[in-house]
Amino acid sequence: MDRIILILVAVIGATGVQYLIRYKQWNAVRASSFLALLVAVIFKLAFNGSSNYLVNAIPPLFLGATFVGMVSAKQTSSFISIGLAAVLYSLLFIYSGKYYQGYGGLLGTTACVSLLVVLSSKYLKSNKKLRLGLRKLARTGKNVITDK
Amino acid sequence: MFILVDQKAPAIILTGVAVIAFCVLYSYFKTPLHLPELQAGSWKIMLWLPVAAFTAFFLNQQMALGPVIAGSATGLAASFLPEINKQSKYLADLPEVMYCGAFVGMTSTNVSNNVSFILFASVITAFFFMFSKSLFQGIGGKAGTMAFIGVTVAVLLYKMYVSWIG
Repeated sequence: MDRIILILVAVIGATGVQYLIRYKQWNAVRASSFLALLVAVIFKLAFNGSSNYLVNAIPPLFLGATFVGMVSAKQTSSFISIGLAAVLYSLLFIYSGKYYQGYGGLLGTTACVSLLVVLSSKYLKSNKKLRLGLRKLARTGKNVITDK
Repeated sequence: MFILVDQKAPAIILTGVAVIAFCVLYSYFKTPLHLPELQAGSWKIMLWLPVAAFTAFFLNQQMALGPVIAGSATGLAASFLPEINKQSKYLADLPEVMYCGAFVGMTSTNVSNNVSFILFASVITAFFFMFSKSLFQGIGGKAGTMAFIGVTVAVLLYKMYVSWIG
């Protein structure tokens, strides 16, 4: 049950930031930091000193999820992709986060990795990927020869 | 990966990390994430990265507000800096750099509670951030990744220094 709640929180965080950026024209840094600060302050005031797992996990998880939502519309314009990246992010947070705990920037790295995995899936499922890759390689080779 | 092996992570996590690493590499080469030519950010903007790191560090460790409040409060304050002069390109670039610095300042006491470590880590982060301007365009978490690299490299160099001296 805890995991489902964490996944939902991550999806809300990521899509919430993307909504503020896209529809309210907020600066990405402001959208992410505002929502993360709001959640962290609410949890600090409501459950200060609690040792409950969810209470301690939600604020950092939410902050990291807001980084997923900071993705530019040029990279992905779909809320579904952002939601999928948020799900992957929350799974990485739950299962591997403890190994790097305390390192500044960990949440951002996890968010970045989740987004890159989701973005790669768009290219991996393409039937033309091999042909496109070979064409790209041939074009690069030609450019190198022409440059010489 | 080395940290995971060092901490004796289960094989399933190591396999998962390997699969994810493959997808990240695939995405790195196939997705249009980078600009064609290498661009460097201005060092004058990078000077603000340690300032934000110290601010977040102070809020996190001295005022005991916790890393999330410290990082997000620093980022939120930085996001209003472009409002001072909307025409200024210099001020427009500050929020992202300062948000990156705030992540360095979120480093916990388990890793280091030393001000000089935060300065060292933020200088390394500023270096990476400066030369990554044309990389990972529009990807969320880029600033955090730079901070993570900076902190990890600083920890590695610090441990090497300690092992050589002591």
